[in-house]
Amino acid sequence: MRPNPSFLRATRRFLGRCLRPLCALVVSASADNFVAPATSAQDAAMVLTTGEIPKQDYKTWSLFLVCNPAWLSTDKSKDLFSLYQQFQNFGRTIGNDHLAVWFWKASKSAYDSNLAANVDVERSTRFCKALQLKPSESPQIVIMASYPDESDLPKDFAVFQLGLMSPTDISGLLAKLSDQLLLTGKVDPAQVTDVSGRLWIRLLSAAQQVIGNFSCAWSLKIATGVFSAELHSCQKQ
Amino acid sequence: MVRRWHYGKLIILWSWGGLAAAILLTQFMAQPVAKSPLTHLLEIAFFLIIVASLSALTWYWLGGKESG
Repeated sequence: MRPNPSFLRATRRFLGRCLRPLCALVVSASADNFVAPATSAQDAAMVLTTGEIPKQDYKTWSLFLVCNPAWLSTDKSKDLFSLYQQFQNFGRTIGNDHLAVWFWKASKSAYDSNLAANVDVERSTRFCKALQLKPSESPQIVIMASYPDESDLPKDFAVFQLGLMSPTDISGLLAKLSDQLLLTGKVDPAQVTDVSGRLWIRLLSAAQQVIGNFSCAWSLKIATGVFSAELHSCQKQ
Repeated sequence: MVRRWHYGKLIILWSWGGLAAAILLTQFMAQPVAKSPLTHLLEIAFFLIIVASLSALTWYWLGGKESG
């Protein structure tokens, strides 16, 4: 049975005034929107500083990395909370074979006014550095098909920059990623980026694709009596 | 300032311009646009500026030279 919401609010107000430090722990253990450390059968894992990323038989790991200092300021707290909620929804919709990972420092309420202080930026930054990701383009979602072992990160991964995207665009991107993960078990960045981002980014992607296709369409062959060589522009996979 | 038209000058300009344009295009194609959209935009913009400038310069210098 779920407790009456108004009763919960009144209780929290009372506890906040009287025994805030002691009672915060009790409330955090009972409410829904609280950060809990990673356990086994989760598809959205809140990994704490000391915790390891769950290693069960997942097909992919989607890491939400917050390395951008701008996203830790108070005026960005709403966006950060929104992103966290989107992460939770994403984690719930990608199925049991895939894991979404968010790094926290400690188990605290997601409604904490200073949510940014609890984000484990240091751990995210280690990932950003190792994967050569620019903090200015963070937050990012990094999707790996192999276990993201911090001492030996996989070389093959897909990155999606969220820093310049609006919440609506982020929702659209996550929905597309969920579709791909759930139905195909993997992510094709080319298909996802086609529908995400702004118009000029989509145009640039299209231009890149056209140039890429064109450059793959020719080959140069030089044949002389003593010397012959063949130059292929690229090999289609 | 180039005062007199000469094929050699065009060849030098196209050589350096072509090299710069090739490097920019290679950079543009090397990574997905989504990874750094702004960098990609600058790369393709400079590539187009270089090629367009060299074409315009060549067109202007070679204009009417065929009769002389």
